[in-house]
Amino acid sequence: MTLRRLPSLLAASLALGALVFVALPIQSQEAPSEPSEPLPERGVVIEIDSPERSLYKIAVPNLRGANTALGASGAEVLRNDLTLVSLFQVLDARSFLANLEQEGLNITPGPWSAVGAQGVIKGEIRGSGGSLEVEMRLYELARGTTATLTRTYRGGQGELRGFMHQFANEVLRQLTGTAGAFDSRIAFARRAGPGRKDVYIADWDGHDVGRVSDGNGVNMLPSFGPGGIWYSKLTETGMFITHSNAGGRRIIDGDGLNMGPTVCNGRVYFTSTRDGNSEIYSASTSGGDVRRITRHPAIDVSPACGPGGNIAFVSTRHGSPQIFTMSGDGSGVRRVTFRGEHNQTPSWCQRGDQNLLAFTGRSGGMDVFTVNVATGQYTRLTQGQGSNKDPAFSPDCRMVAFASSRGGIFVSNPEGANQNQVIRGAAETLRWR
Amino acid sequence: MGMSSGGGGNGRAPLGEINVTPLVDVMLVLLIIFMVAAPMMSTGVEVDLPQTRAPRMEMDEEKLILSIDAQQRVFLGEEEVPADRLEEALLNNARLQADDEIYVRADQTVPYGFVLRVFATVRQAGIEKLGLVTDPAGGAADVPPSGSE
Repeated sequence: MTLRRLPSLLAASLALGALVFVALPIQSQEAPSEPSEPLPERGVVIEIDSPERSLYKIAVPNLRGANTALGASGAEVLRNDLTLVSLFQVLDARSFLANLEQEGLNITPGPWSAVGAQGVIKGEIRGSGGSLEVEMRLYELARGTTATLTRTYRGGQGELRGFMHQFANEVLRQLTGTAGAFDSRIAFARRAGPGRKDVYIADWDGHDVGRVSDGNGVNMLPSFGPGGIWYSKLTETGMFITHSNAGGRRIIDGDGLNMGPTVCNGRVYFTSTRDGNSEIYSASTSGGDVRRITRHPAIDVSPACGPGGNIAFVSTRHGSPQIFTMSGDGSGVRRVTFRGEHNQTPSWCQRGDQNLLAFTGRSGGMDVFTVNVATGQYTRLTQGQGSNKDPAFSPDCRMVAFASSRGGIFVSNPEGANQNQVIRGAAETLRWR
Repeated sequence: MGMSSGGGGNGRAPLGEINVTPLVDVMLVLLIIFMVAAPMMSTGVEVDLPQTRAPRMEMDEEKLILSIDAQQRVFLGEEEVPADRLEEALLNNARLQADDEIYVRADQTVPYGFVLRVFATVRQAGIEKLGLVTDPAGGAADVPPSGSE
């Protein structure tokens, strides 16, 4: 990486008759040789080491206001959002040259461009306690000193994080044309002790982790749907499906296991062994009108709703467990993974234009992959970083979360870069909405 | 070592290829300094530049300028940076990290030692190329903005 600079460095020093300073007391008085020889054109430079080159450089100073700690925590939410989404380089506040006191909510472009900023986010918190007014502004230096995005939020102190996420969504809409999804949440299951599992929900950035299930028995395989978080609960005779607002009622029950709900097309898709073999069924959201979707002597499990109401699922009908897709009525079954011996836990990017499906690939350890169901192209997100499984796309598909043996839920971009831990502690079977 | 060279020192030992590694190492620790003729400077910091007859180099006005005025105040762009903040301001500056190059405009009355300390700070910030901005001999009258000659 430094080698590519060598020719231009040499050329510059020779052609200009440069004085070369070393940290040694060298006595030398070189007269400029070759006067005014034009600097040679740069050769072809192949950038192999700058994935950060296209990152948008943005400065997010602490929000103004009487409560400086609150202003700092608000800005930190924004900085974290913008860093984790892998589209921004959030500039270090220690480099800032601007006089923030004098500038207020406005900007003077000079000192910001001197630190490399392409955008600046300014904000101010007025009022206190339960009645805050938070004014946020985005400046794009290339477009002058008028804010290109201004939003004012009103609410209690507890809503500040939410305001910051909402503004970050708007910043992405302003800069990319597609809003962010920073006000989203991740649902997951966690082993709570011997023979016990619980379903949890948290802000995607790890804040506000809360238990959804009642804390008894084994609760697993969560998913978002009408009524809140749908999940499966183990009983002595089998497993039933319920959701967070059902008050413990069995929404979908039957012989054997009934598990892994996913809701789309106005129906709940789930795995059941009621007919003796593991098959995929659908039911109304009140639990009635159960229809069998798959009919195959092999194992069919793990339905996942995707764009257009298409269902991804895992089947062993071709031998080893692989990911298949089908329409909501069970027609058009198509195999989409052709690599590895064992692929499981499919999860869609919900943006229909992307055709992306994330899954866990097993070969010795477990790693996270995506496949483009239209082109068949695979992307490997993790490798040699412990065991990584159960991925879920963010609602805007700009990030992928997965459970890692490194100690919790990690978030990366869809290429696996910029991996950061967002939630500590064991986790499995993620869903993100 | 020496095991592979075998048959003693009588014959002509094969000449190995030039080892470029030390050269690369040397290049890495150099701070390249070159003189830049001041064009119409856009920065508002008033500095009485030294006059030289050094060959001119076209200045890239996009690059960040560090100015030291006669009172030994340091400016990045047009913003004054207190001496105790200079290192962290340079070290964390995303534009410098991308450019890897800075232009220094120091007033000719500023002591050599002070300028050198600033150079050392620039070097610590990992910046390899340093342009010294001078006033081309003859002064501003010689270099009108339109550059007709």
